[in-house]
Amino acid sequence: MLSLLLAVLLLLGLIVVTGGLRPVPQTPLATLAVDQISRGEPWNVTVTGARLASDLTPAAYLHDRAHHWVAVIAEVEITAPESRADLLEVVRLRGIDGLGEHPGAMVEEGLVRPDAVLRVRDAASARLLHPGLPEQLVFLWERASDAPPPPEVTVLIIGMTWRESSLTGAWEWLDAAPRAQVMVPLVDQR
Amino acid sequence: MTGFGRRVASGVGTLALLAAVVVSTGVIGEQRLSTDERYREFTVTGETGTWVSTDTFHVEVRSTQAAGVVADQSGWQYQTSGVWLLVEVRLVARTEPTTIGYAAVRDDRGRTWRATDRLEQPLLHWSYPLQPGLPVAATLVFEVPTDAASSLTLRLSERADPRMRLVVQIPLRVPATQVTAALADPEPTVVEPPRLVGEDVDHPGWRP
Repeated sequence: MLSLLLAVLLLLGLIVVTGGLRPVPQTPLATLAVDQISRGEPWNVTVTGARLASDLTPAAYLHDRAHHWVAVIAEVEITAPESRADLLEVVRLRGIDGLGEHPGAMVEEGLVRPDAVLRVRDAASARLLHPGLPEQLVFLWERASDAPPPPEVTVLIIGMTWRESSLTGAWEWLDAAPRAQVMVPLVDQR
Repeated sequence: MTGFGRRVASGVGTLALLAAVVVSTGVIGEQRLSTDERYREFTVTGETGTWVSTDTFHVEVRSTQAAGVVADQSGWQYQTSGVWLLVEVRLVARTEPTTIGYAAVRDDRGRTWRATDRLEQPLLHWSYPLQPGLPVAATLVFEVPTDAASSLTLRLSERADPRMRLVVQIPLRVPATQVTAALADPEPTVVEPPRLVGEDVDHPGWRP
């Protein structure tokens, strides 16, 4: 028993000495320019602009009509081999006050998920996107603040990895995380 | 055999038995199905013009048409950067009301396109149950890249997640010349809503 304990302590000592318990250094997030494509899985994304917009009924509904929309325009192409219905996961927004304050808003580590996605071609809500068929999409965030908007917003492009789940053993798209960021000038078109 | 020889033989035998147990355990472990294999779908294959059956419904693909532009009943037109495929089907439930939760096409590279959500497809809603003995004619609409349009197989199943379910697979006949001609035609193809066809069914194969 004592020898086993000594062996474990020796192993832990070796791990500490060789730096095995140090945090893995984070790769800095790639910063892209507007109109520059972010290639990856499960989608390619090209952010082309950002606007402030007022009421977009009936394409999208504000919780409070006194609020307004922050709209990010991007071309998205599915690179995964099947249609995807998780378009709200493509991008996140950071660095603007008044977002994520209405019921149902999703904010995680300061990153805000879009409230709606529209297809420019149809001026209507977009739910599905298909492989090999790039589309212009508008991602919408409801903004509650009356404060002057910042001159630009930071759009985070999310990537995922197709791998075997250690929990279920099934192959799934996992590890959703920002893979690139784009600083986009915000144009007030209300 | 001497006592020493017996002990050596016994030791060797024990080692051989242990090795056999380890090896056979490893072999059995390798034979275990993965999660995706255990939850795999079960396919039944047919062809255009014949009825194909799952445990819950019968289906026949009547024809497949390509279109550059489609329109819904209100006249709203839908453009595409690829091509539209309109698959004319007849469907009927077997013994109990059922629905079509999964409709997709897959190409020869394994890429899969779900039925479009850009225009209303009532048949693919849970609110549109198929009834036994009441065949329905419907058009399933897909939006696909032009390079995939001629190598597609229709896939239908009762549930939105087809794993562990029966999936009908029917290859579609869409010649490349038809795709080219469709893309050159600016006139929209109007998508008709599902309708009961009753006595119009001329293939008795769906009857249980």
